[in-house]
Amino acid sequence: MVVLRSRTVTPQTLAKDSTPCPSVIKQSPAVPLLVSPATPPLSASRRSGRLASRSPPTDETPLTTGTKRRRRRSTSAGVCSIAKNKAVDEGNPAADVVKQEAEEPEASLPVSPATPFLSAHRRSGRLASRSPSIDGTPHTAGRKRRSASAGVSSENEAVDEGNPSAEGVASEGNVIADGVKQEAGEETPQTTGRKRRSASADVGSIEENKSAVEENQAAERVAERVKQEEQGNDGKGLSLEENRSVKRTRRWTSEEKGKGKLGEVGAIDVRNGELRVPGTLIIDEGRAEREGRQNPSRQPSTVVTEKASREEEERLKERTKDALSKKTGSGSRMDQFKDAARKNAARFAHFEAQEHLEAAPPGVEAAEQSTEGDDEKVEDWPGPFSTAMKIIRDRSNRMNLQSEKPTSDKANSVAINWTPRGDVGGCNRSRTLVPSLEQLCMEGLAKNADAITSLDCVPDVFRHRLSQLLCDSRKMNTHFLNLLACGSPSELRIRDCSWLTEEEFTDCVQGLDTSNLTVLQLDYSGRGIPDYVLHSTLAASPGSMPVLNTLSLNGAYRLSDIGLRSLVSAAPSLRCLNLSQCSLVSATSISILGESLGSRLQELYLNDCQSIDAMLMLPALLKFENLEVLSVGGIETVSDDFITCFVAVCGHATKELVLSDCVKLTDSSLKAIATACPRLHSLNLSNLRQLTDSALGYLANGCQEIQTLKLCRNNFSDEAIAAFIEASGESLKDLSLNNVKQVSHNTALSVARRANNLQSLDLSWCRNLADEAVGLIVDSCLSLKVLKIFGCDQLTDVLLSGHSNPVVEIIGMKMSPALTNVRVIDAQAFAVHYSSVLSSM
Amino acid sequence: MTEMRKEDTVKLISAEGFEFVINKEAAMVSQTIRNMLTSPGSFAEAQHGEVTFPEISTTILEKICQYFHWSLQYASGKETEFPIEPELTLELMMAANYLHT
Repeated sequence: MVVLRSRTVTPQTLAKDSTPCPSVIKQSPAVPLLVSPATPPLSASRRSGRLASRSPPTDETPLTTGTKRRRRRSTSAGVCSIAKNKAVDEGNPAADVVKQEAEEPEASLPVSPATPFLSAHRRSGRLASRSPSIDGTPHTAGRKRRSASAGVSSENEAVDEGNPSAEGVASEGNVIADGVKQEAGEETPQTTGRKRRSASADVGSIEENKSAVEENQAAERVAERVKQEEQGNDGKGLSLEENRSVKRTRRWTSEEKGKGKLGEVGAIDVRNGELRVPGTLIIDEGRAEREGRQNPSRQPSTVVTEKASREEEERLKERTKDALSKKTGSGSRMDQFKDAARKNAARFAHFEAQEHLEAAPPGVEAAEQSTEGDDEKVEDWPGPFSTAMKIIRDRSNRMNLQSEKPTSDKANSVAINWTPRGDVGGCNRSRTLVPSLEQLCMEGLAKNADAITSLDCVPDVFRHRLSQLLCDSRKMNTHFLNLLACGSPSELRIRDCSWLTEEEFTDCVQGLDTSNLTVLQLDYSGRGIPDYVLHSTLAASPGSMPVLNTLSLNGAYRLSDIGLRSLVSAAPSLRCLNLSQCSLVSATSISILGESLGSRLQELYLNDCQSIDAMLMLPALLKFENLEVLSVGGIETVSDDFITCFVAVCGHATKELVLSDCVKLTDSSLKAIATACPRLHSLNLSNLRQLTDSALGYLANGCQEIQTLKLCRNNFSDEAIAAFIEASGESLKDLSLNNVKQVSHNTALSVARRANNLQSLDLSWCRNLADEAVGLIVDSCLSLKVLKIFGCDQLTDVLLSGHSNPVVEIIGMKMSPALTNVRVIDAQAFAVHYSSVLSSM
Repeated sequence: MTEMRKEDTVKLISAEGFEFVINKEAAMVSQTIRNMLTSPGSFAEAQHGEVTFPEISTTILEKICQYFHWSLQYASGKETEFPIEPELTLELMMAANYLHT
């Protein structure tokens, strides 16, 4: 038991106590209070990397600051578990302030754990005094109060367990670096912890605790339920992550420093993929608790608390049917070790993608069946797609009839007339191979980058290219970074910061004048950018990057919800945000973004953010009314429902959707997309094996402005793709048919005929295409600049030397080193892809 | 050196006023100059066969002319190294970008 000192908190004590004191947690009936997003001062204090001491509270306020701190401390409960109790001082005018601050968007669900999180305060030996809230304040069930230490108001935030929106709120409380796991399961540990805490402080509060037990348990149940849903197939893995995240919050600094261990023994008991913190351990409280437990002598008052909390725990455990009744620290270490091993095993487990598909919950299958049953085949509907399909089928049938051969050989079923004319393109082609002066200079600069003394007067475009070249050749270092940071740069792009350490980053960025910074890209900077470093540098103060509209922190694996919150408050005009592969970012972060950026955000990249549960972040996503780009590739929880709901609300603005590797998606999501996203420009459907030809049909009928279509390993038939291109091929600029096995001559004919604006085509691994087919394409598509044919062994020199397209670069054959001189269309030229940056200013 | 006729040459004038008279074919390596000289409108440059670059210094322009000739040589098969002095590189790069070469 961590509670250090119990004391009765009264307004008088509040007044007297001007120094932080051990927090006393008072259990109060849950009040449906909304918690507002953490404010910047919180992040500032967290910056120090330790629980900052609270500023001496005034008598009046239940200290919003204090509560905020505590909010931050609390572990990221994930979806709902964050039950922050708002310290409400009844009769205290400040309470109103606190209440107003905590505005939770949805407090519909019963609040979860009542006990406030004992944040690091406890750890640092300071207890916030509690505000004797309870009386008079209407509390809804489930709202728990957190007692604040004397003089410091504890913030109680209503926790909506199982309420996705609560994530945002919860996240505030769960600042602790571990924003990753939003498992509802975390709620449980927190609940228990909280309850314990609350019991500890006041004798009187014990009763309150007991009364709140029900709420806790209800919350826990909800949390469990949500967690169960979330966990789906990935039980153990998730629990492990939770474990890790819990552990992270507990050992905030050491974890941040990368010294975190696998699966904390004794910290959390995870059973069957459910995160159950035995009794008192709760994420951020856990630390304190453990310390407290280890030094029981330190806190005499904890005895009572422990008893009471134990009772509660018992009750909780019963209700939650938790067979694990041992308390950590006191119980069997062996079991804990075993559990830890079990947990950690999941980390090394290898999940086959197939398992996911097969293990799809029955709901999905039912949905699929229903959609199939409901719809006729798309090809039967009137429209260009169906017409095209008919024509193509007729054509191949006619061919078969004429040739009187079985159609086993697809390549012969469609006649292609193309004769190589090798003379024309030859001399022209060599021209493109002369290295340009720009390129030569770039290489020279990259070689001598250390000798560059200044980049003044060098436009941003060159800086970016140089930076890219240096990163690619692993020559990027602090010297060049400082050069880039000189003056008041407007754009700073480094696409590989894996070499950057924390110290280097701090040194460089502390001197950086960010007042003109519009684009900041620090990709793969996980090593150097943990939360606390951000707080002392980029996110030092709110609005420190006033004109920043593009921020890319791809691969910042130490960035958590807390860090993100402070970043967002520092960059209020953010329009484009890339958080791909940030494994700690959870749905809570999306809620934070939704609240602070709302309709301003236009591009959001969340590829491979493993801690984000799609359905949990959906409510927050719906707030982005002007979202033009949504990239959720690799998030396996993306389902048809998610897509359907999202596009129903935000589809009118959607211009780009990246859904690669979201293997659960079926034709119904494509149907939804086609209906709701008329302005879709770019769509990535890589690896979506469940899609059938109907999906292409929907797309052809619905999205007339598609310019970029990326298919990879899909199961579309040749005719369907051909029909799609016949119907909507005019607008296509970038088409990828990588590994779409069935692509054959029908597609080639359609492309040659219709895709006049095509600039980039990827036909890698399409083995059914012969020289004639590709030659026809190359000669007909005069805008074609890049043609990729990796893995196409069937293509020969006849194509390479026989085509007459002077401009096109054919790459992928014979391991040619042509990549060095390929001029790839620079898609990253503009910060915000689809809208003019100026339009918002 | 063979006699160069007026029609075959272009004059490139640097910021300091130095004039470089080079082969038209060489100058056409630069897309910008090519557009100036061949576009259907009546550019003064096209008429007089002179192009002024007030923002490109002499040393840089000289290097650029050297690049033009090196490029023609490279395209015709003789592939050599084009040496660039490090101190020129930054300016040269920006000029090359402007000239689209």
